[in-house]
Amino acid sequence: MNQYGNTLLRTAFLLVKDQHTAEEVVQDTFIIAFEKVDQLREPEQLKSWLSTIVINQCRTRMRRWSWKNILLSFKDKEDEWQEEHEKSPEQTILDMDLSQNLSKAIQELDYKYREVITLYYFNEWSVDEIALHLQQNSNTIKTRLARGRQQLKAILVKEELYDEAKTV
Amino acid sequence: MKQKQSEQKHIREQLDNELSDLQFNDHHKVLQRTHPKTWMQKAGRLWNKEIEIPLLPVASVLLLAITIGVGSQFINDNDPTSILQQTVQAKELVDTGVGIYTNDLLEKAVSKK
Repeated sequence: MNQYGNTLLRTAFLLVKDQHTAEEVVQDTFIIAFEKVDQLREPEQLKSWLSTIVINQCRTRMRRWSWKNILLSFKDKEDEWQEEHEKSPEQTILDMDLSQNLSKAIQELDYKYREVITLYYFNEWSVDEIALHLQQNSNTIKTRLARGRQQLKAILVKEELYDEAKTV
Repeated sequence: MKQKQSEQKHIREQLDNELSDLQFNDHHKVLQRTHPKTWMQKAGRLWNKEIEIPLLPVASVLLLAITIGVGSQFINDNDPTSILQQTVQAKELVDTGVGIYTNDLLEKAVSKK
C-alpha cells in the first residue's frame, strides 16, 4: 500500500474526477487484491495487476456515475475541437505553461480518451500494454490516443485564451 | 521514439507535480476490512460483502416465471368450465325436498305463484 497507494490514487483521481471516489476505488482495489492474491501468477506484475483492478473499479463507478447523470440531467455533450493547428497536440501540451492544470484538462476528456491518455502518460504504459489491459485492438488505442490528444490540446488552448482574456 | 518517450516522461512529471497533494492515507480502512477485529467491523464486512448475480440466467428465470404467471391467469380467465363454476358458486343452492334448485330460480318460481 505504501509503495503503490499514491500512484493508484492519482490514476483513479484522473479517471473518476473525484477524490473521495478515487480513495474508495483504491481501498476496494487493495481489498480485492488481498482476496484474490492467488490469481497473481507473477509477483513482478503486481503493479500492473493492481492498476488493472483500479481501471475496472473506475469503469464500474463511472457506469454508475453515468446512469446517475442520465437520470439527473440530460446534458448535451459538446464535442467541439479543432483539428487544424500548426503544432502537433503533444507539442502544444508541452509548450503550455507548466502552471496550467493539465490534470484538470485530462479530466474534461470523454472517459474513453481520458482512460488511454491517463494510462499512456501517467502510468507510462505502451500502446500494446494498454491494448492488452483494456482488451482492445492496438489500432483502437492509437486512434483513441490521437483523438484524446487533439481534445486535450483544444481544451488547453481554450483555457489559455481564457486566461489571456482575463489578464487583459 | 525517444522524443515520444521524453514527452511521455515530461507529461508524467507535470502530472506528478500537480497531483502531489493526493496521498493515499486510508491504509487503516483497508486493514479494518481485510482483518476485522471488533464485532462491528466483522458485521460491516459481511454487510459490504460483494455478491455477483448472473444477469442472464436470473433475468431468464424471472421472465419465464412472469410469462407462466400471466399465461395461466389468462387461461383461467377464459376457461368456460371455470366461468360456469364461478357462476354456480355465486348462486346459492337450495334443497326443497323435491329437488335442488338455485336460489334465483326458486325465487322466480315462488314469485310466479
